[in-house]
Amino acid sequence: MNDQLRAISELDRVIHEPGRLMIVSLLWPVKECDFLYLMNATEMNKGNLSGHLARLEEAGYVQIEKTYRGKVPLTLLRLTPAGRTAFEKYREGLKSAF
Amino acid sequence: MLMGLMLLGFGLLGYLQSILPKDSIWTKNFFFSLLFMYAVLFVVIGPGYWIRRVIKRRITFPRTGYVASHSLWRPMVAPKTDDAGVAPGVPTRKSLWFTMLGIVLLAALVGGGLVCMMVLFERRHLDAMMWLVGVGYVGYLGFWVLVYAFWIWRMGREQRWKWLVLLFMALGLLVIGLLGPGNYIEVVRPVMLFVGVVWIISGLATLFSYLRHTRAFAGEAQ
Repeated sequence: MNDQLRAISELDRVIHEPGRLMIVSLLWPVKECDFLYLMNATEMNKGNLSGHLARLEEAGYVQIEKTYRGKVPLTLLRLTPAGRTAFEKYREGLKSAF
Repeated sequence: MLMGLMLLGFGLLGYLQSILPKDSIWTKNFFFSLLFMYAVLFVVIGPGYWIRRVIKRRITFPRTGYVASHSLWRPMVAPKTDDAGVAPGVPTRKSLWFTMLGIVLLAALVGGGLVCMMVLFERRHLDAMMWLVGVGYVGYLGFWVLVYAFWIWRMGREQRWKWLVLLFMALGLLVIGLLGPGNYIEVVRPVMLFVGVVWIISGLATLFSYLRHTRAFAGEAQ
């Protein structure tokens, strides 16, 4: 196997899925955002988005914080340092593959 | 919109000072004339800050969600930390200072270009003090020209009518430059009024367009 193919095979599958890639790409430049922002930006439905976020949280890439703004429940999301490192590595891997 | 309000305030302030008697303390005394300026700044920045907060909390967050960018000032002024330990993508003290330096240099470049234009189309001889004030003002203007150009470039992708606003502004400034008063100080007033009004109208149009195309999310998002 040549280096390019190896780089492709070593891509992080948690991030590589398009839905999760959208989420991580959106979280990368910001400090934090809420669930509604991600839902609007990705145009995913609640169920899909929740599923992807749960997968990212399980991998330790996203931190989910349940809080309130006044009396309204608010779900805050942010990339963890591990998530940032994984995304950076993913980008480097993709660059070296192509 | 806030910048538009500020420019409008400064423009109107300029006209107000021009109609005041020449020996009035409000025009003669440097510090008293500055009081007017601070009044405009206070009105625009103080309530403006709260208006922006209210718009975000009541209109933006329930419609398109909440998003917060990384703090810029905190890492810049924080005690020196090891940048290598910071997570990728999070602005570091070093990167922020370099960015700030780049912005200042670029603004100086644009400001310098505008000063050169002023020299080429010099309307009257300005003394050294006026030159310093003029250069400072033009440098400040250069910074905002850059900010506005970047904003139009970003917004222009989704809202193409913003390019028309830019064209209208350029044409308006050209007309003011050609037909407006010859004095450098006097020409600033109509320029501020014009740019202020255009920015306010453009900002209101953007807000109405946003309200028309989005709706508040019913209940909690998750």
